[in-house]
Amino acid sequence: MRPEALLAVLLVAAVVLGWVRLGWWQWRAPTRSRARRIAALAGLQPVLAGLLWLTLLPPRIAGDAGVLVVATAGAPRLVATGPAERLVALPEAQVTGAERAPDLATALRRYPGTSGLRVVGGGLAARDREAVRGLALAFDPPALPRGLVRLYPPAAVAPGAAFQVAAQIAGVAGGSVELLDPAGRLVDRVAPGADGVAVLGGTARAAGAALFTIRVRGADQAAVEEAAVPVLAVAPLPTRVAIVAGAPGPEVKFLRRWATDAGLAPLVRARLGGGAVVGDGPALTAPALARIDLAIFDDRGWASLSPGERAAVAGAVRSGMGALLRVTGPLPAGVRAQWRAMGIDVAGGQATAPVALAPAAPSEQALQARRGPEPAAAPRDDLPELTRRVVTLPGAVPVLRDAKGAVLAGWRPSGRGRVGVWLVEDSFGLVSAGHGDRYGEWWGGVAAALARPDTRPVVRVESLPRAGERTAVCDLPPGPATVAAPDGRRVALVSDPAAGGCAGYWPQAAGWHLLTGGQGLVRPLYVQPADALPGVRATARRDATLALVGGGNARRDAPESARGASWPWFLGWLAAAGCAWWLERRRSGRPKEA
Amino acid sequence: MRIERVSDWTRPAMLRAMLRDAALVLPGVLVAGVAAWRRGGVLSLIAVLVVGVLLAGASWWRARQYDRAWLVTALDAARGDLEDSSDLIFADPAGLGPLQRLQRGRVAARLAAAVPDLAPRWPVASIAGLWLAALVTVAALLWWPASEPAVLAPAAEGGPVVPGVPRLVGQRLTVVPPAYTGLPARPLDTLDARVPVGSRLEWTLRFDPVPAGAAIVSPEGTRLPLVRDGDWTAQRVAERSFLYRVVAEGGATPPLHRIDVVADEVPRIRVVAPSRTLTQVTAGQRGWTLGFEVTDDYGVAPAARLRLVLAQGEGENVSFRERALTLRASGDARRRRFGASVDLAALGFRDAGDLVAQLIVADSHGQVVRGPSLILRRPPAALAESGLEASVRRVMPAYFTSQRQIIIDAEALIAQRARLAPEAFVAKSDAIGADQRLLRLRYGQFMGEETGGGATAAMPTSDAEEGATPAHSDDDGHDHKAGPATFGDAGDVTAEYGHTHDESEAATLLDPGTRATLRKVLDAMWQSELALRQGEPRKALGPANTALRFLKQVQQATRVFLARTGTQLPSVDEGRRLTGKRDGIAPALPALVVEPVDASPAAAWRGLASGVVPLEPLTRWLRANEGRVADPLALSAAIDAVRRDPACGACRQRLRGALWSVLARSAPGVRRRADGGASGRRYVEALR
Repeated sequence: MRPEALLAVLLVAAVVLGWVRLGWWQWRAPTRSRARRIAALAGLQPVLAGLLWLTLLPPRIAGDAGVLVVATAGAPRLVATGPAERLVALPEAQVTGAERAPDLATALRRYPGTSGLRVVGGGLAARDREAVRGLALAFDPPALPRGLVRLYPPAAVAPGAAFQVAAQIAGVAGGSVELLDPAGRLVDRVAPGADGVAVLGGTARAAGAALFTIRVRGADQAAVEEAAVPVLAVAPLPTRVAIVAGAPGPEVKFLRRWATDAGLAPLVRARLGGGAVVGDGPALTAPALARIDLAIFDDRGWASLSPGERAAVAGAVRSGMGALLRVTGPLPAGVRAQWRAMGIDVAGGQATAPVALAPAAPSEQALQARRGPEPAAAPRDDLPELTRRVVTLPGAVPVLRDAKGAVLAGWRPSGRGRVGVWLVEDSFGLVSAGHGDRYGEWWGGVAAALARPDTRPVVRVESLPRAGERTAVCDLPPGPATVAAPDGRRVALVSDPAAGGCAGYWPQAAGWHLLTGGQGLVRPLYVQPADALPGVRATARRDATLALVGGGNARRDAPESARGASWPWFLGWLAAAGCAWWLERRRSGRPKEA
Repeated sequence: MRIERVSDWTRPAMLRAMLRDAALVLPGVLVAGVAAWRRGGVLSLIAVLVVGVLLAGASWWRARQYDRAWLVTALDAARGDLEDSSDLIFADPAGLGPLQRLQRGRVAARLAAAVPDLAPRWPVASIAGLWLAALVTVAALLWWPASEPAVLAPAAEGGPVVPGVPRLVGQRLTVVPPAYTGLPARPLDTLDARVPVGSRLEWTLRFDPVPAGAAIVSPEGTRLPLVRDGDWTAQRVAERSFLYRVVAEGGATPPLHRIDVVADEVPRIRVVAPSRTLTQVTAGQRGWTLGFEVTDDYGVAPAARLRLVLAQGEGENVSFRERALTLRASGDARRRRFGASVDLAALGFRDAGDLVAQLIVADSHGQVVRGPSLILRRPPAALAESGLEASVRRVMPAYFTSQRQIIIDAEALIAQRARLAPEAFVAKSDAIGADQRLLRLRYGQFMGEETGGGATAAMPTSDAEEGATPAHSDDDGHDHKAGPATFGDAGDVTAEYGHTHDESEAATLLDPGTRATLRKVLDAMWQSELALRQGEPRKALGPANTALRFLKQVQQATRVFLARTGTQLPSVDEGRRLTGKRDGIAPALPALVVEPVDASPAAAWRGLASGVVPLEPLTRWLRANEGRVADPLALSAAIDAVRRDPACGACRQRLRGALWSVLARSAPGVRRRADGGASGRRYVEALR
């Protein structure tokens, strides 16, 4: 029971008790008092109770319904405020003539009646964003800072795999973005479009953590900004691939070669005609397919399957397996219908078109750096002519596109698994033309998108942790977890069930940290220096503040708004109580004693 | 002493004279020797010693003047009481007269009574003065600072300063580039440098405190000892890039330094004029102006050679003449311009043909390069056609004109018949017949005949070796006509003498009409040859002219097409298809082997991130794979830096970076997507 209610009950009971006692006293008294006196005494009881209530719980002061102007980092030194506005400066702001507040929540406690916020400067820090909930917020976002404004480092990749780094730059007209490998060699260079977005590609090597560098150059080639991009190569869970083909061919041969080199242990089954089958191919039964993560069919190989085998494949896909159809010609209606039933509609396939291939790197040296010390590979511009089937895949997610944006491979979900289509007829041409690295990247990317998902729990960390800022480590496996800083200090992580199982960590030093935990968890974690990526940090603050703009419909009750002083009510109660006492004790109202 | 023995007199004098010379010269030699030892090194010291020996010889030569004549003169001069008769004392008494003997006895007695000191006197004052001066000079040389202490740059080896442990405090590296670069010697304040190949490197180093010894040591362990000469010096010629460190005895192991050798580039030739490689002669052109610009990193030789090749003639009859001009350059040594104006008339370039010019130029290092060939072409006047047709026509007449030549030769021979001996006439006729045969064989090739398709393989034009198996045998797959051959069987010439082995349909690229005509040509040629061989050129003229006429017809037929190749395969018997036993006919797939990769770089790369670094395997790997690494010196230096200071974070990062460039990239693997945990699975299943 809330104290207010308890108090009300008590006071009502006291009033009733007062009346009962008054009546009892009158009834027992030898002489009756005058009716006027009785009425006055009885009437005073609720008045007394009310005054006591107000003394104990004085009414809340109605706050002034003004707008709080919050100066944040990057606010101008002089902030103009309107008549109903009050200026508060948060610690990051350098503003004259403003009331300083350690954080926004404190400022709001000081001004309980605040009806809205106007944020001046770069935006609210993470610390202050929670306090805004429910308040109307106005924010005039500043222009994006010059240099890198958004950076998305790649997720962990397999050894040798290609990865992509997405970045956005602003304020650098005619500039370019470069990716440098840990040896300092240029790997990729992209001139961003009007939106400043650049997607750069690189390749990983052996399993381990590497630090690439992203560099923004201005139109005059002068370096504008540089930042570290951590790339983590992790030895992946073994993937088992089955290749079912209607006939042996170069594509099957090179797929098997690539899969063997990539450690995928491929099973091959190719028909020779007349019932002869070459290869150690898998039996397409439900138990056998449960051990396979990705099955690659060509259209002829699929057409030769028995209905039972097809049903087993469809069932395996629903329980997680990936199935890929290599389209090598116009699909028979039956094949198309069967794959439509599995989840992907492959329309067309009659026409072919050349695949638009662009060089994988901006220069021969960059390609060399991308490929590594590979002995024999073709020059950058010496690209083969490949053919793709012109197919429309309604609703499919593209995995691979050519230089002109035509889809070369795509997938759709089907149960827990995925079904996909591969549209390049002769991708083996890449290998025979000396671009085997690209062949591996293509097939590796498609296989990664389609293969059976990895059910092991994955630790989630923020992509750009920063020295001196809190970062969250989520989905830690059970068991004690620690983070080792570069200077050797170890910090134990404690997961908070209230925060979705995440643990907070405040890195002090920049560099590679090592996160270790239960179930053999070892994960390097790169912490950016505190002063790195100022543009990215400012943009994150700006974007987060912009997301809070508007609101205010959920007007919050202000439980924490202050109550007024209680002493006037106490004086009133004292006067009323004195009056009641006098009425009770005075002789004039009583009948004369005999 | 026996006064009558000359040597008893002269020997002390000689000895004294030599000693005096020595006393006078030695201070000078001493000073020179000390100076040479201090300043000039061993060679100057040896030179000083040689000069000393020469001086000693000269002194001995000078002392030889103290002989008998000198003794007599000196005694006479010294002693009046010898009455100028001292000569007698040393004379053989047996040869003297009695009076002389008496005088000798008197003089000898006087001399014996008071033996004078005839040896040259000591120049005491001079000797003392010279020795004093010499000693002062030597002392000055010895105690004077060896040289003006060179101004050295402060060393930047880093490392802690431990009292009593020698460490490098001053450094200077003087690079003396080789003469061909024309660059001056340059002193550097750093110990790392990029130098032209063949440069001499001179190190001047200073240690504090002075160590017992110091050396320049390569990571492989070769040592170049430093010589103390005030500061420590050493020199070496840099022929290839190398790493080194300066090690003082008893000192810590300092970091590595690197010398990069820059190879001399070959000169680059840019053609300024003409603008294109192939130029046509314009009407009325008399000269040809050529301009070249040659650049080199150090210097281009001031003279270059312009090679001019004049190719004139048509068809097979092209003659070449070569000439060379020497060109003088203008401009800066590193960017020279060569110009030439070729007088076409002086070269004899009047008829159709090509004039090819090529610049041959050397740089100051003697590296010779040849520029592109520039062609000046004077097209033949009557070239009407163009393109492929023209080129075909231009080549073909070279064969056909010979038939005309045979007719002309034969007519000339007939005209000469009266003047020639019968044998000579027959021989000349036979020679023309041989020409005719060669021509016939040539056209025979068009018809699919064999090259040596004559009567015998022993002909001079036969490619078959002596004694080789004849190309024909009775079982070589076609009929051999039996019976005697008859000359003049026009239709069967090839079958008679050199029947075809290959399929003539496939061997020729001529249409059937041309083939028929060509066959007539061959027949006519054969008749012509037959008559010529028999010494009857008059009879040959008819067939030869016939051959020429047909050849002209062939010349008109320029259409060339490929022979049809029939593909008439037997039809497949569908009834028999796939009826056999097929058990086990499918081949087993060959097992694929993943090429093993040496894991040392990857292991070291991973180890550098976590702490444990297996550097030894990495060093072994680098030694074995030096050729495959782009910059082995940088990697070697990075390994060395980590070995010296395993705790140095920056060094480890640098080594990791250097290792990245040698890490082999494995085939792109597959990292499967995460399924998003239990909630992710539920979501995906709910999508159904």
